[in-house]
Parts: sequence; structure tokens; C-alpha cells
Amino acid sequence: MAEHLRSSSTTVRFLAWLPLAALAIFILTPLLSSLTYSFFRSDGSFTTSGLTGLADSGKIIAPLTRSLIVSVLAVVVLVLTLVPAVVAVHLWAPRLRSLLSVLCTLPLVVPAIAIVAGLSAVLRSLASHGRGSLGMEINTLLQNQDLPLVLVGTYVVLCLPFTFRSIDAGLSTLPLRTLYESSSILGAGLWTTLWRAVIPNIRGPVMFSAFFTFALSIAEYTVAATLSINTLPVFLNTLSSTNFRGSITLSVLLNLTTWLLLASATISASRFGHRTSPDEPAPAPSRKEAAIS
Amino acid sequence: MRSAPPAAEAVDASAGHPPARRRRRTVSPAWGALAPLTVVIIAFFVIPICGMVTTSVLVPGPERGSSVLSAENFAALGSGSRSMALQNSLLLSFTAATVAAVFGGVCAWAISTVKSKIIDSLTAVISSVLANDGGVPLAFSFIVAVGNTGYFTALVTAVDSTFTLYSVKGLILMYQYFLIPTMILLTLPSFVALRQQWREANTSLGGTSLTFWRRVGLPVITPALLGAWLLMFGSAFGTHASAAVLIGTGAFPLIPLEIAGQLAGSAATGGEGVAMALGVTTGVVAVIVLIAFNALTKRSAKWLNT
Amino acid sequence: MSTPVRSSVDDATSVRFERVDKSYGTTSVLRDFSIDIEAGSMVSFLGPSGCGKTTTLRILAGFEPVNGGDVLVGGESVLRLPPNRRDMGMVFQSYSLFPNLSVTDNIEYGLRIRKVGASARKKRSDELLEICGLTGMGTRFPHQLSGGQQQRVALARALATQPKVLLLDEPLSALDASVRASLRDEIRRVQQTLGTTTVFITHDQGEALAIADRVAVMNAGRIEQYSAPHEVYTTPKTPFVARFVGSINEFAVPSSWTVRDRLPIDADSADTVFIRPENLAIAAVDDGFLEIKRQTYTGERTMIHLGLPGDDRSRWSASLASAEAASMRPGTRVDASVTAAPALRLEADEVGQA
Repeated sequence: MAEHLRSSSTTVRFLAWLPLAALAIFILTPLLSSLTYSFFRSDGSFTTSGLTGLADSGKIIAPLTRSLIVSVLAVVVLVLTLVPAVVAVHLWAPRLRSLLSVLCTLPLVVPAIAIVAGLSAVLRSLASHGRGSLGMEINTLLQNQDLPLVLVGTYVVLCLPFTFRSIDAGLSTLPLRTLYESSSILGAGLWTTLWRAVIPNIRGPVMFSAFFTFALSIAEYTVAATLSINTLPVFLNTLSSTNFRGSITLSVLLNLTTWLLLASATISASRFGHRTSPDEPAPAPSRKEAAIS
Repeated sequence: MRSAPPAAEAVDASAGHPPARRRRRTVSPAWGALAPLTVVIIAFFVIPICGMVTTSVLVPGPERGSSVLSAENFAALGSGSRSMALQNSLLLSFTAATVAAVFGGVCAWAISTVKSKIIDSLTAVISSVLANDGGVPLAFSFIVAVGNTGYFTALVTAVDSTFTLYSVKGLILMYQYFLIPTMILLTLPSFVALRQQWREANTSLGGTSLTFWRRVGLPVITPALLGAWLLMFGSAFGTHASAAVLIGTGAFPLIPLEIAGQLAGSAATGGEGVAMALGVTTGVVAVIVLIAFNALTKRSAKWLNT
Repeated sequence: MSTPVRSSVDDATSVRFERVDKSYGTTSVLRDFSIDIEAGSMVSFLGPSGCGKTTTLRILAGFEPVNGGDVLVGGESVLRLPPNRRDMGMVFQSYSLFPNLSVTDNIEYGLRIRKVGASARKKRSDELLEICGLTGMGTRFPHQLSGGQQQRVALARALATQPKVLLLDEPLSALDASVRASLRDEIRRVQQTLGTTTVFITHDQGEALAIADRVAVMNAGRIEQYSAPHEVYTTPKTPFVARFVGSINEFAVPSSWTVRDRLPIDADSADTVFIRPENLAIAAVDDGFLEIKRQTYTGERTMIHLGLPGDDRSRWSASLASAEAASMRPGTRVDASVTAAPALRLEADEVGQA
């Protein structure tokens, strides 16, 4: 009875596993290869020379610190500029939303190498005004080796496409206008409303943005290398000529860190993404706020 | 909002950035909140792009320090290593995107067919992680796996004796690592959106699954497949980091490598203008890709949301 | 192909389920399920969600295998036929139109598969566009149509191949209330014009009664009652049917109670009678055993909600002409009697099972 139903769909389902198995092998091979190479010599004996070599030279400290500072700053700047902008657009200027969307999506298609080409053109023309000029000042400030602000800004821009979409989508599912109005009627001021009713509901997208930005910033090579700023990935590439095992070990560590961050980003986006208002108590008007407004 | 001033102040405080404070007196609090982001976008995106475009169309004029408008930089793209780089980049991006579209498309279909919860959540995390890969560590892990003395090099050369990682074939293989996940990420929703009712309607009208795919399934997802292909083409075209580590400069000219090379050597060779022209070319490719992608996704969205 | 098994209904498009069993794993969905559907008639399967009505339809369509029993169309078993060779038209709950094809192409889909020539296809699709009230919409695409129009196209598509049986799986449930009633009548008109044997699945009792020649009320994988719509309403066979179709009052009465008697309130009563609100008469009496709790005005009729004195809940209702109801103030004590035989009367020994 109706064998055709079961047999054909079972065969198809079995066949579907084949490309997935192939894909899994393809994904795991390079990863496991470099993991193996990091800790085993060609004769199969275990070694931690890659790891210790990294620590010994001490050269890693500067690029590592630099990368960490840049990444943290990029996260802070991104969250502090993007979240208010997207909330504002949703709340007060819905017409600007499509403009903001286009602006934030463009960096996705304009490759980093093109952006950095433009950046270096601008930096050069700034420097061409000569020593002591305002242009030169800005140039030096941006490219300061200890605090390369140019990287912070560029990384924020490079992360905009993904983070904007996430936060925008998060806010779209919220009845933001109603939330804002009902909170106002209950006597809460704007700041309380944002803090207690809006932000908790977009916690997922904001966390996603933070993780994503950090992951992208810590692993970015093109911009830093082209501007000759020695960040971790740039250091990694130079290291490979002197200490190959060390560079592979570092690359595995960097890779795993980025993956972990990106995975946390994706998971936090989905876990906190669909917080619905019912389990979030309505913002209670605090006395202080009532007094202010 | 009962009164404008306190509200505007609150937004300024939340933005906490100097540009926002300067705008304290503006009527709408929206401007205060939008200002910091606008400044960042202008400073690190709009100005560089404008700078690039300007530099690309200017060449040193007859007098010292002057510049004149000219297409010379773009003309230079047609010759020598630049024209080679353009050809290579186009070939590489086209092939890499096509291979990834086929294999990634099959994988997306497979994921939508096996309907396993574990696979679904693994896919969600892994594909978005890998789609953003393409950096230095990726190149290194491929060197260890299938480089000249890699663990699996013998296995690969047994299949194709001419294979070497440091060639267009190697790059195509390496690019699959982030392109296939991109393909899955972009097309899986469309495969999932192929409704069970469409299959059943097809069946009850006398069709086989071949009929379904030929007349309904494929036509419906084609825009999504094409869009994903385009986006992957753009992504492969602009990939720099992993290619730079693998190829360095010179050995196998590619547009992104050429840009980096021209920028590095421009002080001596005056190649800045050419680099900018290359950058503009890449940007134009990217914008065309985006416009076409948007048109395609709009169409498939219209179909899939009826 | 085996020799056709002749059954009592042997027209080419009659449908018969013979003792069908169906379970998913250990969950039994249909048990010993049998029904005869006369050729050319329209039967609606009515029941709450999970009662097995959709499974029944999908078994008939060939999308679900059965664990036992037989399904016959025109006296021949169809169980060995794959769904694409069963020659059935199906309309789904949500919009199942192929989004990449125009209305005409959607309608002609089955004809193309059957390799019907272009001119014959065109003739048939024009015919169906007209029958289904879609004239002039042939070149549109599904996303340009309203929900109701989409379902008309789905109906036209299902009918284009002149199927033996038309299967409608809650085709109206995704539509607005206003469109629903008109499309319901439209479907009935088309069905009667073409004389196609039709199975209509719904959980909406109004829809089920309005559209079909016969209604099969289903509960937990069984048919509770299979009869004409008015019988289902006036003489339900089981308490389930009585409660599921329309609203009903339940009174416990002594076994000696007759229609002429007042309705007593007696805790030790033995029988249960089921009475439609329109068959319940009330009269204001100072020591009446019921009290009016509130009224719901619905235009021509007004529903009077009744309860026990000293208890806030309303447990019964009487439907009165609004003019009559005007004098019935909440708080008034009333007595109740019946104006027609109860829809159903359960004897004492049956009450426990109900």
C-alpha cells in the first residue's frame, strides 16, 4: 500500500546526506590539518614549540594589544553610533530608513580593498599639505601606531551592513511607536522608555553586532596591511617567514577565536532575537522621570 | 513627547558623542541620534570613495602641482599586468562563483530535504561564520592541507596532477571555503520556502517530481540562485587577504593584489592614480552586482510571499 | 489491474472508505473508518482539529499510506495508485498557486502534463475562468490577486483536468469572513454545475451545513454522524454532534419527563435532554427556578442567558424574538419549558458515557 510514497522519499533523503557529508569533510580538512600541524612534527611526535615560540619572542605583544584595542573601540563606536541612529529612524524619521539602509549596505559590496585604496588617497592628500598643517595633524592622529583610529572607523563601516540589518530587523518586529507612546502615557520619559522598553527587546541584535564587529576587527588583514599598521593578522603573515609552525598555531588560535565569536553572534541573535513584550513587564514610571517630564 | 528640549537632551546623552552635542538645538531629536553615525560613514566611507574617484580621473598637469581631468589612468588598465589582472580576476570570480553556486545549491537543497533539526541549527551558525571567513588563517590552513608539502596534496594531485594551491585552481578551491557557505546562507531560505502544497498540487495534477522541479521549483528559485551567484562573484572579485597571503604580489596578478601593489609602490612609480582606477573598477563591479542582486531578490520575494 | 469490485454505489466517481485504519507511530488517527460518498454529491467532513478529517482527505489523495482497509473510487481500489495517477483535483488551505505562472498557466498546468494540445487547453481554461468568475484575469500572476481570487484560481486549476473527485482542504479558512460566504456559495454553484464528486474539509460548522449534500461529523478518528445538514442540526445522534454543531442547552430530567412538562431542576435526575435555544420557552414566574443573567442583542433575535439563582454563571440560553425579549430584565426569575422535541435525549445508562 502506497509503498511508492515511503520508498522514494527515503531514497531522496538518503541521497541528500551525501553532499552534506562531502561538505563536512571539506570544511573540517583544512581546520584539522592546521590543528595537527600546530602540535605535531612531521614524524608524528607532539610539540608545543609553535605555542612556546610565540610566547618567547615577545614580538606578539604589541600587535596583539593593538588589535585588541582597535577591536574593542570598534565595538564601542559601532554600538554607540548605530543603535541610536536606527532607533531614531524607526521612531521619528521612517522616511530616512531606506536611505540609511542603502548607506549601511554599500560597504558590503564595495570591497575592503577599494575602501582602503580611497582611504590612502585621502590620507596622502592630507599629508601633502606639509608638516604642521591641519591635514598632517589629522593624518598623524588617524594613523597613530598605538591607536590607529583609521582602523576603528573603517572597521565600523565594514561591519555596518550586517549589524544594521540585524538591529533594523530587531526593531521592525517591535511595535516601537506604540511602545514609546504607551510608555509616555504611563509617565516615563524618553530615556526611560529607550532603556527599559526598547533596548531589552533588541538585546539579541545588539549582542550580535558586538560579537560580529569584534570578530571581524580582530581578524581583518587587508586594511591594516595596506596602511602598514602592524595588527595581529599582519604580524601573523610576517611571522610565517621566520616561524612557520608558530604562525600556523597563531592562525589556528585566531581562527578559533573568530569562529567562536561569530558563532556566539549568530546564537545570541537567534536566542534573544524574538523576545516578545509579554514577558517584559511594562516600564514602570519612576518618580524621578515623572518629575523631569 | 510632552516637551521637545528634555527629549532632545536625552538622545544626546545616549549618543554621548561630540558631534551630537553640537546639534543640541536642532528641533528633531532624530538628527542628534543620527549625527554620530553620519560622521563615521562620511569620514570613513564617503570621503574615501570620493577621494578615490577624484584621484582616478586626475593626472599631473603640465605645471608643477596642478592636475587635469583625464581618463589616462583607466586607459592604463588595458595594458600589461593590469589587463592580465582583470582577466584573471574575472576568470577566477566567474569560475569560483559558478562552482560554489552548483555545490552550495545542492547542499542547500540537501539541507532543506533532510529536515534535521541538528543540521538546521548547525547550518545557521556555521554558514554565517564561514561566509565571513577569507582572511589570513584560511590561507594558512589551506597551505598546511594542500600546499606544496600539505597533508592532502598527494591525494589532490592524484586526481589532478597539475593542481597546485598557488594557482587559479588553488584559489578557486580555497574560495569555496567561504563561497559555499555564502551560497547556502543566501539560498536555503528559498529552498525552504518552496511550499509542500506546491509539490502536492503538482502531484495531484498528475505531475512527477521532475515536472515539479522543471516547471515550478527551479523557476521559482532561479532568481535566488542567480542573485547568490552574483553576490559570490562580487565577493570573490574583491577578496584580498587570503589571496595576498597565498599568492603575494606579482606571481598571479589579480585586481585586489594589483591595487595593494600599486599603493605600496606608488611613491616611486606614481601608480596611485592607476590603483584608484582599479579601485573604482572594483567598486563599479560591486555596485552593478548589488543593483542586479536587489532586482533579483525583489522578484523572488514577490513570488515566495504570495 | 484487478477486476473492479462492485459496490452498492458503482458510479465511476463514487468514493468508498472500507474499514480504513491509519496511525502515525503509536498514535491512531483513523480506526475502522468507513464511509460511502455518492457520485456527484458534495460531502463535508466537519470536526475539531486533530479529529482525522484532513488525514482522510490526504489518504484519498494518495499523500498518506494506510495501515489497513481499502479506499475505492468508482468501485476500484486506488491504494496502489500513486497520487499523480489518481485523477483528483485538490484545493489547499493556503495559497498553493504556482507563483511563477500566470493564472492561465496555473489552470492549464494539469492539462500540459496530460499533453493536451494548445487550442484545447485554451478552450478549457477560458471555460473555467468564466465558470469560476475570473474572466479577464488570465494573464495576472498569483501575487496580483486577492486571497479569494487565488482560491478561485486554485479551484479552476483543480477542475481543469475534469478530475473524478474534487478535494477541498479547508479552502476558505484563510480568507476574510466577508469573502468566505460568497466564495462558499460560489464553490457550491460550480460543483453543482459540473456535478463533480466533492469532499470538503472544514472545522466551521456553518460552512459545513451550508455547502454540502451530506455532512460527516468526525471526532477522534470516527464518524459520529453522517447525514443531511438539517438532520445533523435538528436530530444529532450523539452528544458530541449536539454540542459541536450550533449551540445547545443540556438539562438533567427525570426519566418520566415529557415534552409537555416544565423543565425541573433536579439534582438526582436520570436523563439528559439537549434543547436548541430557539426551542426553549421562558416565562416570568416569581419563584421560577432560573434567573436571567444577561441579554445579547443580535438584531432580529435576542439571546437570553440563564443561570441558577445565587450563581453568577450563565449555563443555558434561550433565543427569543427581540420584541419579546424586551421585557426580560436581568434578575427576573423564570421557568422554562420546551416548544419542540429535544434534539437528543440520553437515557440514564447512556449519560455516563457521554
